[in-house]
Amino acid sequence: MKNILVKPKLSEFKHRPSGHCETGGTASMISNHGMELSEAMVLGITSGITFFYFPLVKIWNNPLISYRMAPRSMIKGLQKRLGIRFDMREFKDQKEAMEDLDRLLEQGQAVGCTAGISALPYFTPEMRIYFNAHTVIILGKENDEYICSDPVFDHITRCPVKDLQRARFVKGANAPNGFRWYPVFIPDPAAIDWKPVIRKAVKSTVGMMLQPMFPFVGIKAIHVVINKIKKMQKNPDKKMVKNFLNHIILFQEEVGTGGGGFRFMYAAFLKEAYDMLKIPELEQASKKMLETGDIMRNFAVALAKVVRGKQDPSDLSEIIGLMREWAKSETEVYIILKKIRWK
Amino acid sequence: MKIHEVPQDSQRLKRGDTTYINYAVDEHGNFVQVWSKGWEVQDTAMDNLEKMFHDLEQEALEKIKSDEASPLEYFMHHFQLDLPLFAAQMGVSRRRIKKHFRPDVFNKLDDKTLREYANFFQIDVDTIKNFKG
Repeated sequence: MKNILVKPKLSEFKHRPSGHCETGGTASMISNHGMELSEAMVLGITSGITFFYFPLVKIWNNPLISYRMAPRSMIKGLQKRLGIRFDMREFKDQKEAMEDLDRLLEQGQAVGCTAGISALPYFTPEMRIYFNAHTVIILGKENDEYICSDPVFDHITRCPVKDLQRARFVKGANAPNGFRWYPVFIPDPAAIDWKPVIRKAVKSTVGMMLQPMFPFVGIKAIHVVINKIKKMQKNPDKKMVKNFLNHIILFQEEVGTGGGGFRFMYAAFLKEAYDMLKIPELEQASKKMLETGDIMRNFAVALAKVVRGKQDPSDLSEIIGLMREWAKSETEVYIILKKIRWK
Repeated sequence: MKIHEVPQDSQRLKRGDTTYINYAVDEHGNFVQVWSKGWEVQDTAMDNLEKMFHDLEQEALEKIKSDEASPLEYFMHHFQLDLPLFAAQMGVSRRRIKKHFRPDVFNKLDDKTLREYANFFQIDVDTIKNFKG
């Protein structure tokens, strides 16, 4: 296939604010290099949506809840599904990593970096959560400051050299190890056969969400959480219950766009896929997914009610009801998608 | 979510320039990206998290006053960390940090170890050394 990659001038790099850092960062990078790709499409094609509940890993004393796939799965997914090639590298030596970054910037190449939010100074202190897999695109260097295009900011930001170095080498879960990437090969979008690409992506998501085996992944995990909340009604430690419910809101709405946000984004992907392929089930699924997102928002409102103390934590029937509705509605989406006859 | 349903009711000014882009549908059923100023529910979650750590901070202060804990415990909660997360981000074992929570051990720590902690929190060594609550 022909390589249509065009290197944009760093000063002409179009900054695209987006809902989520990794999908937004990759979409922005690829769009600037010659292939128009929306954020929702990246999320859909890389099967980035999920529900993951894992009580063995604790964050702030509460289990890990995730609504997206692991970090870097989106960059790797684009390579696998669309045949885009990235130059990716990790570093052991901090100095080497920064020299490599400077060299690439001198050549006029925008570089995507993984960084820990806790060390990035342009976030306000309250927003500096300990999340180690944030995506930033570096556009240049000026007087000991890097020019960053951060997908969750509406303007170009600046970051001192020292802080970026710290951010690129934070330790802990998902440690970035100085990970950097930039595209080297982009295929012609007109030559890509989109149908099998979208089929594979949708099938992978459906398979994962409807899997019957592991209790921590997919719709099954939602039911596990429902059961956990049900048991909590009898728990005398109300503070603990509140903290758990608060944890769900945090991971659903605050950290990394959150679940409701991802559901809307996935609905946008399904709509875009329908415009491309004209398979009616895709539009139907998109509408249903939109409803699911709305239910999840109502669910978050109900959770907030309990957290604020407007409702007693010993009666969580409203939350359980909404959560069941959410699980049912989302299952329907995947069943619609499962029944599509791709030919 | 319709365009007019996109939340714009955050009361928190601390969010800074962080933007929230939400995906909503317009009247023709097309998806559009809409700016959001934040949502009340998000505020609740953040406030509660802050409160949780504030309580732990106060607890640590009490403990420091009665000589049961070292300043390290206070600073850990001050920067919204718990022990497993702190150990992971520092890249040292939990046991080691737990040991340093004891005032008698902490007072004997050399400057090198203290500087490691200070660098992590991005504060002065003296601040952490002479912290009295």
